Amino acid sequence: MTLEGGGYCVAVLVLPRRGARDPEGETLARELRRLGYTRVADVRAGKVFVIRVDADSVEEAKRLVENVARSARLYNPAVNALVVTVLAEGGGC
Amino acid sequence: MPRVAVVKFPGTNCEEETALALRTHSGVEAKIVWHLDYRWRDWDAAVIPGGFSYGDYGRAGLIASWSPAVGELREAADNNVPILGVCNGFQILVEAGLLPGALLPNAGGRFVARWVHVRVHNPRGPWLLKAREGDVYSMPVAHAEGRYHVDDVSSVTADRPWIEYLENPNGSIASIAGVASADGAVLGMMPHPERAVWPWQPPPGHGTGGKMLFESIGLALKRGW
Amino acid sequence: MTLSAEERRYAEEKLGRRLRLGEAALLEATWSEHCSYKSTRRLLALLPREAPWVILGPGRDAGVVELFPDVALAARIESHNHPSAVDPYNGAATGVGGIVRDVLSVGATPVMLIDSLFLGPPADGLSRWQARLIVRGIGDYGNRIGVPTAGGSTWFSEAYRGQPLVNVAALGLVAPGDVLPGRVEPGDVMVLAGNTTGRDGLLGSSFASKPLGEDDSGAAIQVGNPFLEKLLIDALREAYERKLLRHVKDLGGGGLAVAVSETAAASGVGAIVHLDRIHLREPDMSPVEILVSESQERMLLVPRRGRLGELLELLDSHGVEASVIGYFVEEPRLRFLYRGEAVAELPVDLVVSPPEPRRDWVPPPEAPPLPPLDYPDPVRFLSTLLGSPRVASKEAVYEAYDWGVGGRAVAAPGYMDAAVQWLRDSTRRGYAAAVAGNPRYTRLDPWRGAALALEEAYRRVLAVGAEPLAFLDNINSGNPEKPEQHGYTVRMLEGLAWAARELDIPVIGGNVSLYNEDTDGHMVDPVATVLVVGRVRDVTRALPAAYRGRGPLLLVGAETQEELGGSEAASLLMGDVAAGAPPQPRPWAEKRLRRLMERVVSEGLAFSAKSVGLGGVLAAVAKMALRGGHGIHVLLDRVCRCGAFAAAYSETPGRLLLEVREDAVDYVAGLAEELGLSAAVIATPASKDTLSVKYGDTLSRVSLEVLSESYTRALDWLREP
Repeated sequence: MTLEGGGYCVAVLVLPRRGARDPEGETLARELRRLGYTRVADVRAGKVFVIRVDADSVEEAKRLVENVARSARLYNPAVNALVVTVLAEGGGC
Repeated sequence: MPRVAVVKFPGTNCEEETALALRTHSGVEAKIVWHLDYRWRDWDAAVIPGGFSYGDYGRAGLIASWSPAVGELREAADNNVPILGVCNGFQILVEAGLLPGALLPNAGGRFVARWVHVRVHNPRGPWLLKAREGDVYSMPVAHAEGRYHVDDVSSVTADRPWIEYLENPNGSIASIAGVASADGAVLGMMPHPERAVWPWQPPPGHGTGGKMLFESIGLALKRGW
Repeated sequence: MTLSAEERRYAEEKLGRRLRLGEAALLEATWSEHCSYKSTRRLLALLPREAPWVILGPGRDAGVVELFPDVALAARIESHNHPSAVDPYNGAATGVGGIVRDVLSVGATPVMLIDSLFLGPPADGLSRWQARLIVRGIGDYGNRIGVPTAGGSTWFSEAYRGQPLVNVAALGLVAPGDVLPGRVEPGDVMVLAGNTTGRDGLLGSSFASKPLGEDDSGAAIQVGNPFLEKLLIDALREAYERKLLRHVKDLGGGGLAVAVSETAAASGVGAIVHLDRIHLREPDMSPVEILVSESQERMLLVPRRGRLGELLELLDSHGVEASVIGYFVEEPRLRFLYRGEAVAELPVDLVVSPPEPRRDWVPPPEAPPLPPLDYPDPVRFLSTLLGSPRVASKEAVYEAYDWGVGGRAVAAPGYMDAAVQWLRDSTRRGYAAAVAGNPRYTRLDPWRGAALALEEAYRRVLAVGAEPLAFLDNINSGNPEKPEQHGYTVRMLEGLAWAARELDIPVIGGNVSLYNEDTDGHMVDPVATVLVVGRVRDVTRALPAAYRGRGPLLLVGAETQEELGGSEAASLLMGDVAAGAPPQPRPWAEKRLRRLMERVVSEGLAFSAKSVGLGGVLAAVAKMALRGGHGIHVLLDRVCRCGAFAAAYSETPGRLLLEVREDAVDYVAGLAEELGLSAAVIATPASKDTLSVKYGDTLSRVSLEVLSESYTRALDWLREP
């Protein structure tokens, strides 16, 4: 494994689960529309972690980070939906 | 009697005790004014009190800064009307661009409520009329997004009134607790002066540091500054 | 569905027909343990509730007592245990939301929150995660709605691993004449105000009536919107000022079904509700889902005749959505319709009267005796005791709470033995509240444990110089269908009732949380959380619990005996094991202390005061010294003739520490003795930075700095985000 400045950049998006409430997102959507941005349909508010990992492939990087997110409870499955997506290979996260 | 507006946004929490402090310790007429009803010409000064306007959704002060009240406040500032922003009020003034910098989540990553000592520098303007350079005052802080940041510290500290934490509770750059416009008419601060005016409020080792601000504005509005 | 076979049969017999789906869902909500108290109604009736100063007793959304002729205090306590186990953040947060709405429901302005937390051991990673999230949940919600969390209690033990208990209480202020009478009449209109109704929290309360693990479904999790709650609070306060409302009811457990049923039943009327006229979050919700949804931040408002238009306009101006959903009728039947079709049609009586289930109970086993223990030097042990997470400073907890919002706080939490607030009017009047509940006591002896909880809360209100007026209780216990668990519930309520009668203090409300057991059938340590509220005539005379060396410390109250059973000290020595019967309750001593404190406060005889509780006298003295930052010299022999360790750590109830002027000692001791209380000087001021203890020929010393390390750092892990 040769991390140093390389590896994979993986974004972890922790969002409200489908069906779960999102007061922050709902309020932002409403106020944005009130401000004049009437084409804003909805907003979901969540948290982003960008994690750079040492891995040999995009699939491995994604699997690794999904595992981290689940076991370290970066999100609470009772209320959150998890989206894990590889942003980039190599440095420059 | 001078008239001071205490501007309330949806989610503002501290307006009643702020108005009480103004009436009792500034000797002015203080009214709670709904943000949509605030017109700068009708008031001799404005205070934006603490709380969680719009639940701090998006970012503290962000959604409130979209209110038409901000346009009124900008005109007020252009016309030398004294404006004080406390805690969430400070956040709103910063989001609205009436004061420089940004207020970020506390370094400790959580809400913090405790008494602190602050020092006043370059006192000038209506809100700090009774303060002298280097005076120390006690007040409580209670916030989650109070870490002040500005790219060039001297732009808010050199020859401008500013307030410094003696014990920095949130990691603010240069321990900045409050900043002001050059003439001091617009002042923003994270600590709560309205919670440091009654004799039973301060814990041992602290005093009623908020009284200075209220007495200052009372005097300033009656006699000028 | 937890409508039992017997309950279904009972209902269908009464009706003479089968239940519709919507009717079964309705009854499942209204007949749930959480909403109907079917297993404990009889026991709750044991608690004394009469007193001339009680304006509203148990039965309404909050109890109300007269504080002064022009101001009344409303209060409510509730638990949110099951949701907090699955989603600690939202479970705790929505617990705060619900309790505040309950206080609003009687016409009061919410002014204080108090939380009692029972958490797993700090050594356990999951428990630490739950603890942090619960504290953040309470803080984030309470802070946003601008209601200060001014006090509480935090307990840690193995028994709560994976199953935390969250009990929340709220206080409010209302003019006695403005307390909403709670009656509606035929023709009154119903407005549903607040949040949209959605699928969140479906059947949450019957969810709370099942042991954890049977269905930890995400659908049962309620998520709060504190911003919307704040809008509701502001809107209602204006509505109250303008006298627009006849009746208000919070939608809590069981949602709309329970709110409408309880309102109708209390007034002996019926109701018609059109479920299709409700503002929804998801347009495709079924009528039954709408009926029992537990979406947060919703209230049922009944305007006074002719004021509906004004009310709707007011709600609009505050940004609160509202729907006119129905009205009350004379015929005592509840009819929930959807586009004209009946979803549920039941007699009101039936809906609020579940058949009383058979609940056998077995007396809990006697407490195992305290084994002989090797007692260490009490002074060397003090640091360990102060470092116990149950005893240590809770600053890491309350620093996350905006305890000063509203400008009514008289002191930061932890500085006084009870939370004291100012009315914030032109006088110096105020009120106090303290909460207590020791699960170790209650596990060992539920009767004594509950009685001692009431005593302790009462005593802490005395310590600040306030006058206790009423109490509220939150019983947390096990599965009522299991006799060996139900025995704890029965004995807790019996002990509480006894102590309340002895103390002459009425109950004005309470809550029972049952089924606190896990999938292996292990019941958590049961506990009665008791909140006592009191009147403060002059907040400038409220006594802090901080020793500043202005005089000696007098120990007054019941004579200290060697009572280490169930004590913190003994438990720590045995490695967190509980053994020995808890101390003998002594309500007579608390009553006498009340009379003593009346004199002490009115004559300004003390500088500070602290009740003796967990950890006994030495812990109490140490805390006073640490908070005041002043050294102290303890004369342990004067505490009791019972061996140094027992003198230091016995948890005999009915005792207070008073810091008095040197020249007032004899006078105060004389007052105490006249009242039949013991009194002795047990500590004197010492050099600024040590705590020294003399017993027999031994003199031991420990620096306040060392003690402070243990006391203030024990919960540092809570400060991590």
